[in-house]
Amino acid sequence: MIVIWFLIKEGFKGLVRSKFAGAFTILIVWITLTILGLGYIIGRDTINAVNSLKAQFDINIFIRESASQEKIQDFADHLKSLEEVDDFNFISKEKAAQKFQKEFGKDIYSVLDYNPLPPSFNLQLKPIYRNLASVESITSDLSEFSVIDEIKYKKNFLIMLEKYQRIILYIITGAFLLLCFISIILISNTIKMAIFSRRKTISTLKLIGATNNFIRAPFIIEGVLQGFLGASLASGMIYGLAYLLNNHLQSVVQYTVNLYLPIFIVIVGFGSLMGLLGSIRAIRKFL
Amino acid sequence: MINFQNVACTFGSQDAGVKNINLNIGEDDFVFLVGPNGAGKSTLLRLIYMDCLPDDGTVQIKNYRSDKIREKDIPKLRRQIGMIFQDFKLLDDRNVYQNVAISLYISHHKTRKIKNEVHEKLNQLNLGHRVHYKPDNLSGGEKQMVAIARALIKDPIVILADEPTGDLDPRASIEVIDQLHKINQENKAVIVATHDYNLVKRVPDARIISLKDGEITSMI
Repeated sequence: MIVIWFLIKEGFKGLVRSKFAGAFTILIVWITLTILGLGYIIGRDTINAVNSLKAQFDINIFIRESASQEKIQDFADHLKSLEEVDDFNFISKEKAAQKFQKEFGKDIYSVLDYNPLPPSFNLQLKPIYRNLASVESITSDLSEFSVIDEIKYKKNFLIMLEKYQRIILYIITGAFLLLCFISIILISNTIKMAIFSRRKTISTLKLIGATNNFIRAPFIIEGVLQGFLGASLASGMIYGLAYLLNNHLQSVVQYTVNLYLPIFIVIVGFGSLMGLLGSIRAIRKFL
Repeated sequence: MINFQNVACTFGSQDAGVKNINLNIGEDDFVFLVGPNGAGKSTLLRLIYMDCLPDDGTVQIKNYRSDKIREKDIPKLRRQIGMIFQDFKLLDDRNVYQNVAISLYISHHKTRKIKNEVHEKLNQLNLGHRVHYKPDNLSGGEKQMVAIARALIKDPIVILADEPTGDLDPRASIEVIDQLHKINQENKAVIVATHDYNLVKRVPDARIISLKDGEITSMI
């Protein structure tokens, strides 16, 4: 226990001794995690916006005029049994005429002498099935039913949403991996410089009986501390920016950032992990 | 306690090796290893603290044998050996107290015990007033006394000193050798590598082992 406490203190002292190199690494982790944190928040809110747009997505299934009431009921029962279906409702010919009047302000019977609007089902899918592949599979299965005349949905709308969702995901993932890589390399190089500048100390410690673990531990603690401090500063900065946006810039930007404690815990934990990985990488090359 | 059997150890062209070394050193021996530069004095010491292992033969220090020792046991052996070097090998960024205490931290001692023992040892070696000094602010003789304190604090089975007076003025050199002699009189083995024959005379009861070109040429 005493040795662990001693090594922790040595890790702190190492951070102080590393001066500019240590401060530079903290700065890099700070900038990286601020960008990552903001990127996550923007990505999360964009995906939420895309998902709320997707929530408006529905499928209209038009029924043949000749279909019997019994067959329509069988088809409704089938829809009810489908795992992918969140909700659906039946629109009879009369309801369709009422809807037409509501939307266009004209009675269908005054435009035409008869009601050409077919009965239909309006179908909403569960969120995870609101994608092109699932929709095409479901509509293909449903079109096998003889009561179906036509199935319509906004295919281009879905394609466009999926395209943007994919681009956002690629950008965020690419930036995340690149920035993580840069941070780990920089932390690792700082620790390598620290080890190199203290090579005389290391060789002396070895001569007086220190084990490799005894020598390694302060460097690992130093790396974790660099990551932790950089991540804490990034958390503070993200909080500050969100506070500024939510409280003073609402008249300029109509966007509210929602922040939760787990976001900060993840950022600080992730920063410390980057520090740990960076220092282990450096130490493995030297000790 | 320390036994060399037909030991040979060679390095690249720059380092001096040793060959045909047969030697026994007892628990309360004071041994001078003398000889010109490149005679193999430092190599003999390195073989004892297993900084290098023999190409032939075996070196045994208590229960540690060079042909059987595992890498993870070398630090354990070194914790039982006090080492003193010509260039002191003090940690420049730590003060006198910390330089001495580090030996005990490595051996997992308790903080209170470390404090008491370090202060006691520094007072014994007349360094009590230098506790908070960094090595840069000490004279050469004081630095070597700190190195002696660091070596002694862990109660080693043997003290190895490699040219301990090489960087010291004559007065400080005598102080260091007298201190090592005093340590030896408390029944602790001391092995000093030197090429200064004047210092050898200050310890009349010491064994003198002469080396030349890596071989023992005489033992007194």
